[in-house]
Amino acid sequence: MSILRSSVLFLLTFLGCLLVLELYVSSAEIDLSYHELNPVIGKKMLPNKRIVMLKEGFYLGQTNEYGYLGPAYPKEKPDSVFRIALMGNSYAEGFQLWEKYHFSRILERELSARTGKTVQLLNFGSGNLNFHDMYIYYRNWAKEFNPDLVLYVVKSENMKERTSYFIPSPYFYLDPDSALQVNYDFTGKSVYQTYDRFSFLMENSVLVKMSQNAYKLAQKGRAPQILFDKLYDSYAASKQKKDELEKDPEAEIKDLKLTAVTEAIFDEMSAEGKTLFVCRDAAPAFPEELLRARGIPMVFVNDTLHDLKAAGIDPYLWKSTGRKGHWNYEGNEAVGHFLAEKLAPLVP
Amino acid sequence: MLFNSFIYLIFLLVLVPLFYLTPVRMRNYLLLAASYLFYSYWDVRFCLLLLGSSLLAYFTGIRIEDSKDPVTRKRWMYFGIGISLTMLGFFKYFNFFVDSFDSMVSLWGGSLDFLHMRIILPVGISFFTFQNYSYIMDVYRGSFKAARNPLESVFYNSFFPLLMAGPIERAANLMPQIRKGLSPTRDQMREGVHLIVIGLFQKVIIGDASGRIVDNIFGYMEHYGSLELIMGLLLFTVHIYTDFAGYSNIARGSAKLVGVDLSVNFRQPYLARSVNEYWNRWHISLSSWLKDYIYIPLGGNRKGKVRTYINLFLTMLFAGLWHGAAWTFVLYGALHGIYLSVGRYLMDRSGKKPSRSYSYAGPKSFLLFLGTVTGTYILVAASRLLFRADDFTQVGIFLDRMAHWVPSDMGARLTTITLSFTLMMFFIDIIQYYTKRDDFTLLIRPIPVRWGVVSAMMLISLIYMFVEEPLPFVYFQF
Repeated sequence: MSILRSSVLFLLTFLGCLLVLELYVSSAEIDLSYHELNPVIGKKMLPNKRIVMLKEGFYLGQTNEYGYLGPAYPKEKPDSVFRIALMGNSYAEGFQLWEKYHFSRILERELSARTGKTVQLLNFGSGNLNFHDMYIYYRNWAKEFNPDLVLYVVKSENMKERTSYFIPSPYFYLDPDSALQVNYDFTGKSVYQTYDRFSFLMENSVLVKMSQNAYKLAQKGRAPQILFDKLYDSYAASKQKKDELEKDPEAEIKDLKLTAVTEAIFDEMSAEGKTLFVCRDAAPAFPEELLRARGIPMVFVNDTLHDLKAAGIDPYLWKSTGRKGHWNYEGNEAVGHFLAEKLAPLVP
Repeated sequence: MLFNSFIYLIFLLVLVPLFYLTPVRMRNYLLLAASYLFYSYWDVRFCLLLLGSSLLAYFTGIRIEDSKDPVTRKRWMYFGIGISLTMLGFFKYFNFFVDSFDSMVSLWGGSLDFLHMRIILPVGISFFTFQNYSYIMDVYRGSFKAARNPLESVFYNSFFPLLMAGPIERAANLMPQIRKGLSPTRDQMREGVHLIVIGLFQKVIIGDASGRIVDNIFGYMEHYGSLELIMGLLLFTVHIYTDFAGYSNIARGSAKLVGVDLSVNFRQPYLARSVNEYWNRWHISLSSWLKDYIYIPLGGNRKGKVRTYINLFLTMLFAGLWHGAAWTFVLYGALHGIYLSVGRYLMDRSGKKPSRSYSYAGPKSFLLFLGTVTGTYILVAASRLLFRADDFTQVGIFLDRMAHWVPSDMGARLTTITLSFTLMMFFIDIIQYYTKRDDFTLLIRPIPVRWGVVSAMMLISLIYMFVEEPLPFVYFQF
């Protein structure tokens, strides 16, 4: 058999097998692809996509026809409805437990029951967003759904400005008149162009997504740790892993310096008058003064989580994996009840 | 060092070429050093325990063989086995018995809690203890000649592919290979590579992926509906098999690379037509050990039908306790004891002995095959609840959800997921069943097609291993 024929046979079988495995991995939901690179808001979940996540806990759900999480509420809002837009990162996204146990659904149910009014909560949470990204999400997308109240679930560390973007995204800047503007230069960069060219594969192939995840880990410098395990004696690597597993989710960020862009965002929020911050850390670290000066309300979920801890329940511990991380079942329930109590007076 | 980790693959990539560069007479020493390195990677402290256990078997074997007096031989046999089982009992069962007695004493207001100790269970202790047991018993019975070279004895007990979770090898299979000198053939090398690829795929892409879901469902059972819990149990049935069969294939493949043929541990157990046949196909090295060292000494089937049923029950009760120090495992063993005794009773009544494996003889026989395989699968899957549940509270939650049906949000989707994992598991099993080879990819022709299949399987396993942390083997805890 000639080398050429052998190579073609090998390649055809290899690709054919990958296709079969793609079908298997996708139907067994070992992983799923559900993101797009949106030219207006950056990384965004695609509409009507199944999602599975197995990290600290187990999430099985899907996006609605509009591409956000939860029931599909259309852009037009009836007058009788009180609508809340939930903005945030992985805490708002809640890919650790099934949706009905997430604080957003508990909040929606309880707020409707408490106020007797139809309350709709639209969850625009998405992992790895910082505060600026969340506001771009709101300005360029969530706002179209006419919310009466916009909740930002944030922590001080989310206020830090991003210095590098692994996934290219739009970003805010101030023009010479100090007006807040969005820069969309990322659509001209090679990463976006490559994505645009192979978007069908990237949005639909699980194997491509798994390979991308592997690439991201390698980019983050995790490859030696994964390959050489205990033999990789880099202090930094082991420390990083240890920090990730054991970091105190309530640790405060010291010396948080907010930029002029962040303050400009606060000004816009203040002018709109629909914003409420759900703060995940204690008062001094959060830019409380700046928000209070602009009349933007805040609630701190810390106390209710501390009450849980005092009762012997760690709201960050996932017993099935032994990992500490996002709010677990008890944490979400406590936060849901707490927010319903705090928000009920705001529902007319 | 987990088989499903990159560090193990690197370990093999370094060891195998080194093995070939080493003169044949020195290869056993190299493998012994590699085995201890492999074991110490987990916890160096227990290397002494492993060494002590191996030397105990070595000295006891010689003493038994050299003694002419039957009473002295018996004493040495009891001595060797007694110490081995005492070590196993201490590490694995001490706290279990303390807790059980504590529960009884607490009925009268007392407490034995002060006896509770923080004991780390050495990985593989159940396996190397059983190997020691069989070695000492075989020497005592005269069916195997004691090793005169301590290297053989230590090697037999600590050969790295079988150190963590078996197969529980008999000295009669392994020691002659060690004595002869290890020099793998080209066929062994080929088989080894293919077994590792298939085993890794089973372990990682079916086992680990399904196991992560199982861990979450069983970790928070109260948050799931009835159908979701059933799917969790069925997924565990897939998980435990692909996890262990995958491990065994990697172990056999790794051993073949250095010229050692280990016993086959699984013969597609979920294609068994009865629970009795299932135990001839599941964890074969344990089943045959139980048969030779528990069931037959109890009298086997030589003391009448009723005693046969009782002996089967007692053997499985012991098997249950071997799996883990918990009453759920005891009950698991008891349930399988009942399955086997009832199965044996039905066979005795019908007077028909089933064939070793199925061969097609028309649609009627095929339907009967499907029916009996499905029935056996359901019986085995149901028993897995006792195997997987952490305690009787979890068993209670599961049974309560079955008695009072709780609707499921994601039942249909989890059913599809379970079906996909199950079909992939059976797909591999059916090919292995009909080709009678675990390394069935070797039969694919022409060679470029074979390597196309193998490369795709390996690539997806490696990507998954890179992005997900390795999940330990279920049987490591035993």
